[in-house]
This record gives sequence, structure tokens and C-alpha cells, in this order.
Amino acid sequence: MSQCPDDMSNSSSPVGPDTAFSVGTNAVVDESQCDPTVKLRGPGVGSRRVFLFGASIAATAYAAWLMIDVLGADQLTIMEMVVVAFFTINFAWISLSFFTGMVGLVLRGLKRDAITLKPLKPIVRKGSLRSKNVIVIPVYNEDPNRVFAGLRASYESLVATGELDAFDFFVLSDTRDPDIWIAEEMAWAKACNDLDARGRIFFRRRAENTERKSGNLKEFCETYAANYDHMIVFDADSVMSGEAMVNMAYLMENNPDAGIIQSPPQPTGRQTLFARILQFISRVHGPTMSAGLSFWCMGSSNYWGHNAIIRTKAFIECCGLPVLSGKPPLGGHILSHDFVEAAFMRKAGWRCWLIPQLEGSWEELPPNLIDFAIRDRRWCQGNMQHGRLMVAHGFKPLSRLHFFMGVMSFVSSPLWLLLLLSSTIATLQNTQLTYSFFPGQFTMFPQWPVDRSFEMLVLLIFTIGMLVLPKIISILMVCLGRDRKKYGGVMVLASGVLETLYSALQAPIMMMLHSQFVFSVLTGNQVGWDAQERDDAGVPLKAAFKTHRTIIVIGLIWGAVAVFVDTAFFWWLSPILAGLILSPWLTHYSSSLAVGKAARRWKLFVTPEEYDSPDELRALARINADSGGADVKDGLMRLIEDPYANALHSALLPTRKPDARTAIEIGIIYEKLARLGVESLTRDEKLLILSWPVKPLDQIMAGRDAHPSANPVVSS
Amino acid sequence: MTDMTVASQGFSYAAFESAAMTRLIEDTAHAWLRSFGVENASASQRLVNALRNALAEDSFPAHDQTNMRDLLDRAAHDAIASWLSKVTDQHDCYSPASFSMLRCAFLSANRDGIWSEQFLDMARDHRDLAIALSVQMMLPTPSLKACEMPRQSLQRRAS
Repeated sequence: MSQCPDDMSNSSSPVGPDTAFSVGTNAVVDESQCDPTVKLRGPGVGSRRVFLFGASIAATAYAAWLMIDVLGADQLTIMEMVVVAFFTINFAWISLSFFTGMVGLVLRGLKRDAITLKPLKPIVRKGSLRSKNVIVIPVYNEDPNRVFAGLRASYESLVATGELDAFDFFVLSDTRDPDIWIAEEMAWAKACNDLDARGRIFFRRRAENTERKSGNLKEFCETYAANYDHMIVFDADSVMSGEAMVNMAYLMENNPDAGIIQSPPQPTGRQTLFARILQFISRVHGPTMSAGLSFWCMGSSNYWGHNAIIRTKAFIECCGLPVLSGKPPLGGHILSHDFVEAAFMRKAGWRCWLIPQLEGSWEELPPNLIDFAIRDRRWCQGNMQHGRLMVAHGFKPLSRLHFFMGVMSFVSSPLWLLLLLSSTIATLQNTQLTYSFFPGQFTMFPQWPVDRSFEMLVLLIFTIGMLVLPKIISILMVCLGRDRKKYGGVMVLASGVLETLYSALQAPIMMMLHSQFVFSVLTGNQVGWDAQERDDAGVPLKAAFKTHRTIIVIGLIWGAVAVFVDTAFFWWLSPILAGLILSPWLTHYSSSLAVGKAARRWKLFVTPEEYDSPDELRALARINADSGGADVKDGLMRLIEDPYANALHSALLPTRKPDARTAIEIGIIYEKLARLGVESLTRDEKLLILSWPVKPLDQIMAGRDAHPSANPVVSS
Repeated sequence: MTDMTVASQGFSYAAFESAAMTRLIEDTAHAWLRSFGVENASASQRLVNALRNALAEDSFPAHDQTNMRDLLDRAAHDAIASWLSKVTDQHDCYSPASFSMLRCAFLSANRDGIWSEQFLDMARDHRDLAIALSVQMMLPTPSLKACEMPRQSLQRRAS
């Protein structure tokens, strides 16, 4: 196998990978000891990229030429030039995605490994793991029942591999909600007891959550991470199979220059129609895109923030994030840290791999379009910051491309909107013009209008084909494949058609929302970083109308203008207008749990995880059901009344003493607690007294007794 | 007035103990026993004795109820920590984290009350209890291995 020509610049890197590497935290192993069958190397990296970018550029050039030909038959107006410019930028974006998908389809069809290009085969490990690994779960105000259910399902799966000794689990809490904080502690203790996992499952809460998730991980790196060779980063809703985790660790051990190995997480677990549609298409088409991406990114792949394994030493040495100059949202702390961490890894010479065939990696989606958009608003703010990093010193070209792609995933929406608006204006202009058969002064022959309807049709088919062809082929491949049954049998075709229809209607809504987000970020507005909705929450029609009212008004006005301009143009725009005007109904009905379940009964949008649930997801469902949505309310009251919760909380607090001012504040809060009850305390007051050992009920009441005039109220 | 005599002190502390003080001592003992999930008369008596011992040794102004409560709490904490130290044969039972973690372990081990009788009994052999506690001990974090994660720079490095 030929050596990957990707320039690593090892010698110039102060912290990059060496030929010898540390495994098992102490031992130093030579690269020659590595298992060659799992070596992440592949031929022709440069050729792959030349092909992909060459094809994308060629297709874009052809589409742009067609567009000029269509619009410029009677000479291009300025507005038509604007249309061509926006069209070309948008098409380049589509084109890159199209060829990535097509490559992925070829690889899937031929059952080839995207990296080595050899026939796909499962990872066969030779011996036990030598490394020490940790699964880290950064959480912020997440439902502790769900977090620990995911942890326990993954833990149980890991036990079954026989490699448990090579792994620890670490919940890194940044939670600011007092009730959730206490529930997390109790869930941790319960998990340790139930799984007999004392000394294997750890928990710590940060007193200050500076720099959010990246700060949470940084604090872990500076305290406990050095105990481990690798860390597998989970999201709050992640679940991974033991096999997947062990395989990732094995790949790390045997690829000493790998800094990050990303698994492609499959969305699962939600039952609303919206989530089931996304789960279905991610399951059908996601592997295609992952294979295509892996094919041309090779060791310069990206990191998606979770369900990935990271070389701890490399991460500590080269992934401390800088603070961007200026104020948020474009300056300050970096919000979307994952892309940046991957870029710093690459900058230091470590490789980042996406392994499409790593199965047993799951995450959950927002249950409805509104929550999906809320998540996108956060991501938009983070990705727009990356625009500044695209031109920063020292990053590899592909890292810059990843930044660009992240930016474009949101900026493409306003560009598309501008394309449609400029098309409307150009059409309006054209209808106002009277055709001139003799545009020159001394022409003997008239200049006849040229019919470009055929070219327009070609361009339309070409564009739509680029957009949907890879997805359609992915659906057909599943339909014709042996696993068809796992996707609902022949109903997979109906699912594919309905998904295409749904995504066509949803696209204009997302275009408007993303455009609004980009505008909002560029005008200096920023959003918080709250926990994602992780239940099957529906959106009432009234709420959907309230959210989409601007979009509906824009759709109606735009439609009226289009009818006024040209009826043919109105029909041309009608799919966009339909999406905008129908947005509240689309949001409302797609968020319905009942409709989602009905679709399941009709075998629509079925995924293999639903058809035959893997052990890990079955365990997750079982543990979730057992916990019965255990109460996360009244955390403080629980500490006051339950000696075990009280002792546990005290044990988990950092050892320190309050300063005089804080001690007085705490005294005042206890006084208030004794007189007026728990309900009288604000969240901040609860947080303050929870930050120090909490007195039991009788002590609090004794304190109240010291002031006989007090009204004895401690409500339970 | 209580008729409890602390014989080892060589004088009767009870002669000076007011009803309010008796109540305060008993309340404190009860609160601490409850925090360890212990409901046992002997254990309660042992803790009350320990508190009286501490009071007898201390020259704290008895009329300052708030400070007296702190003193009793400290005395109860030290008495229990001392006993836990003997049980576990560990010296680090006094720090808040260790003490709380041992309290957790004791609460877990003593869910059905089998160790209540032994609580604060310095004379007994506690090997079985020590094993039970070690089984129930929680470990929130592994050993600290501090290192610095340097912030990367986006600036061109000076040549």
C-alpha cells in the first residue's frame, strides 16, 4: 500500500506525533508493533482531491455557462449578472456535495473502504487493549436520567466486550440548575452502585462554567485527563456500543499519528414525524455522505464534537482554544470548538479520521422544527466565528475548507434567498421591457427573440439532479439491497418520496430562518447555550403560527408580486412559496408524536434501529423506563431531608471555606429558608447554599428556634 | 438538671447542666445520628457522652447558644471522625470530603440498621464493618494529574 502523501510536517511540529508513542499511560511502544491490518492509510490522496474539486469546478462552470446562455440570450442586464453570480456560488456548494455523494455511492456499491479502497471488512483485533481510555460526558442542565441511561447502556455494552478494564467513564457537569445538579449526583451514585462501578464511573461539577463546553473539557484536561491515553467524547444524548468504543481505542493504539478518530453517529430514538424523517434519511443517505467525505478528506477529516476518540496528550498540547479579539458574537470565546480543535490537531501534524464503517454510534435529534432551528441558531453563531479562522495563520488548507463549509452551511441560505430575490427583480425588469427587433441603429436584419426554454429545462434538471440524485440513488440502493426489510421493505420507496417532498417544503423555511440567523449574528446579536430539547415535544399550531408569522407574510407578498410579474414565474416559484405559506402546518403536524407513530405503523421512515433495535438501544429504553423519569425537582429539599443525598453532596463539594461575606450571605439564606420555606429561595440563592455543605432539616429548624419570633415554615 | 455523671472527669458535669443544655446536647446527638441513619439507644448515649465530654473539656461560654451549637457540632464531628478513623484504620477521616464520603458509605452499609449497634463503640472489633465500608466507598474522581493546556495562538509566530 502506498504511503499517504499528505504532508505531515512532523519535524517542524513541536508537539506532533512521533514514531514512538505512549500507550497504557506509561509504556512507550514502537510503531512497528502496530497492527498493519488496521493502518489508516490509502492511495492517491492528492488524486482524490484533484478529481473531486476538478469535477465540482467543471460542473459549476458548465452550470454557470448554461445560466449565462439562458439569461443572456438577449444580452445580460445588470440584475441578470447578479443572478448568475449568486447562482454560481450556490451551485458550487451543491456541486461539491453532489460529487461527495456520488463517490460515496460508488464506494458503498462496491463495498470498498473509503480510506484504503480495499474491500470492506470488520476490524479484527489482535489481543486486548493496551491503552487506558476514558469516556467523557460534558453536561449542562441536561436531564440526568437520560444522561446516565446513555452512560449505563454504553457501560453494559462495554462489559460484554471484556475490555472494561481499559475504560473509565467521567461525567463532567457544568450544570447551573440546582435541582438537576442534585439529581446528577444521585444518578451518579446510583449508577456506581447498580453497576458495581465504583472507581470506574467518575463525576465532577465545575463551580464556574467559563468557556462552556470547551472550558469544561479544558478543565478536565488540566486535572484528570493525563491519567488516560485517549478520551471518547460523548454528547449528553450519545450512546455507543462497547464494540465501537473498543474498536476506536484499538485504531488509536495502532495509528500513533492519529489525533482524532470520528465515528459517524446515527440519529435515533425520537418518534415525532419530523425526527423520524430525519432519522430515516440520515440512516439511508448519511453513510453515503460519510464515505464520500472520508474518501477525499482522508487524514484531514473533521471533528463533530462527540462520538469521537481523541488522543489526550495531543489534545492537551495543541487544542487549547484561543480567545478571539473583539466582542461576541464574532469575537470572544470560540463557541463551536470541534472544528477548531480538529484544525489545531492538523496544524500540529496529527491526523483526524472519519471512519464511516464504525457502527454502533448513536445520538438524538431535536424533536421538531422549532427546536431544530434553535439548535441551528447556536450553531450558526459558532460557525460564523469560523469565518475569522479561515484566514488565520498556520491552518492546513483542508481545515480552512472545513471552516468554509461550516460557514457556508448557513450563509448558503441568504445566498439562495438573494438568488431568488434577484431573479424576481430581473423577471420584473424583463416584463417592463419591450422587445427591440433592431437594437442597433443601422441593422438591415431584425434580431429575433431566441427561445431558450430547452436550455432552461436542461438547467433545471441539471440543478435538481445535483441536489437530489445522490439521495435518490441511496434510497434505491437500500430498496434493492438485502437490508430492505430493515427500512420498511418496499415502503422505503414511499418513505423516500415523502422525505423528498417534505425536505423540499422545509428547505425554504430553513432558508428564511438561516438567513435571519446569519443577519442576526452579523448585526451583533448573540444567543445563550441552553440544553437541547430531548423529549418528543410537539409544537402547538398557535406557537407555530407565532414563530412563522413573518415567513408567512413574506411568502404571501412574494407570491402576489410573482403573480403580478408573470404567472409562469409564479408557478416557477410555487414550491418555495408553498413551503413558506404552509410553514406553520408543516411545523405543527411534523412535530406530532401521534403522526410519527402512525407513520411507523405504516412502515414509513423505518430505520434498522427501529426494526431490530441493537442491545445498547434496548438497554437505553429499559433503563429509561426503569428510571420512570425520576424526579429532578426539589433538589435542595432532598438534601435537607435525605441523609444519604446530603452526605453525597457534601462529599462531592470541593474542599474550601467560605469567606466572611459568603458566610454571612449563606446565614441569611438559611434564615430565609427556615422562615419562608424552599419556595422562597431564588435559583442563585439555592446555588449558593448548595455550593457548601447543606444543613439537615433539624439544624435549620434549630437555627430558626434561636429566633423565637420567626414563623416556622419549611415546606416539604 | 440531668443526673448524668461524667466519671472520667472526676467531677459531676451534670451538676452544672441546665435543661436547655440537655435539650441542645440531645438535639445535636439526634441530628448527627440521623445524618448517619442510626436509630439506636446505645449509640445515642455514646454520642451524648462524647458531647458532654467535649463540653466539660471546653471553657466555652455556655450562654452563647449559637456558638454552643457550633461547639457541639464540632465535637460530634470529631467524635464520629475519630471512631471512623479507628474503624477504617485511616487517618484522613476528618476532612469534609473524606468524612462525607465515609458517611455515604456508612449509610449505604447500614441501610437495614445492622451496624447501628456498633456506632461510636470504640471498644469493639470493627473488621467486618471496615470491610463493609470499603465495599461501599465511592470515589468521585481518580487521582489528580495536573497539567497545563496552553492556549494556542492565531498570530504568526515571530521569527
